[in-house]
Amino acid sequence: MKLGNNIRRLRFEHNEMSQEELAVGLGVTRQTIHSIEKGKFIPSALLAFRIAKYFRKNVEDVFHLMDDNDISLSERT
Amino acid sequence: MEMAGLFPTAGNRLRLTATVTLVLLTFCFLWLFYDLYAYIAIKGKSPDSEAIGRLAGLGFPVRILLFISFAVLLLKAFRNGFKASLPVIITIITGTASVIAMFFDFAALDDIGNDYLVHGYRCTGEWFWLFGSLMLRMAFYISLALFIVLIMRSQRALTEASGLVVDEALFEATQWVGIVCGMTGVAFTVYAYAVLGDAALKSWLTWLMLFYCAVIIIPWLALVAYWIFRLATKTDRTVYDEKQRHDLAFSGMVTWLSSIPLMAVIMIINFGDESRATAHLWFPFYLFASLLIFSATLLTRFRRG
Repeated sequence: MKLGNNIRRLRFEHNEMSQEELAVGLGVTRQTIHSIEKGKFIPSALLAFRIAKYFRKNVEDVFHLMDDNDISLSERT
Repeated sequence: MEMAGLFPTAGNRLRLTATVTLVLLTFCFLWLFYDLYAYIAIKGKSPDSEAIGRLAGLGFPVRILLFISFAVLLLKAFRNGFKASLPVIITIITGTASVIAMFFDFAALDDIGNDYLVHGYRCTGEWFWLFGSLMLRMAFYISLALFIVLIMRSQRALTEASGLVVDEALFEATQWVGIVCGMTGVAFTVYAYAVLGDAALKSWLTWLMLFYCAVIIIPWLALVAYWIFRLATKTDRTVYDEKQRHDLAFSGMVTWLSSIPLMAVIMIINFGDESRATAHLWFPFYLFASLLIFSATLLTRFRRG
């Protein structure tokens, strides 16, 4: 199981917002946003809710669980 | 009258600091060539060695001013949104090494003044160090000049002060300085053990070595002091974000785990013979090795995500 996210898509839907702009808005570093987007770092529940609130979405609209099949499919495409 | 116009903006202050650093850099650059001439003249035992050496000594306060100005410029640049790109990292590495090298330059020149000119010893190691140090300084000056040019050129694009950008760039800079100080310290303690051996047990030499160890760690301590100052003055105490805290914890664990076999080796070397040089050198070695492992792990984790 892995935690997938739509942050990259949401950023682009918000006037092609950069990772740095999102980081400044959330009070974290750009590297943190980069790592979450890439799925290398799993954020705390608090940060996940803050990200969702920032985009005015529910948490499940931003983050979703990916099982192994989803991961291998996404890696192939 | 517009009051705001009377006070310099953050961008103007950055430009002013860059200009002051550039002026000091020009002086230091010229002094570098004078030092080269002075070393050649003194090595050739010129009759004017005394006067030539005195002028070379006057270059030290100018160099100290340049280092202070460089540190202020770096902080101001980060505060104005300047990123820790490759040229900046190279400048930080060569600058940190140059600060440490300055103390060793002073010691080498002092040795040459006494042992080479007065007693006629060869002082091969000291000369080798001084000429090598000139090359290191040259590398620092060139990278600093490039850094200043980058600041001047990109100043318009830099954003207004952002605490986050400062933390991220400074966080990375601290790890680079930690790596340089750690590597230098490990090399110095291993050299002291291998070359000096039991001669290091002489009390004056022990104190001198411990003094050099303290000198090597000064650049890193200065940055840590700045971090502590920020932590103390920030009301919400959120200097690090959660990923940075995660990386710090991981790096701490790696450092602790790797320090056990490292210190076991020191214990085996020292076993049953407490009179050996390791009796005095184990702590600086442990300190620098830990700093090196911690900073390298943290930087790798932070950059790779």
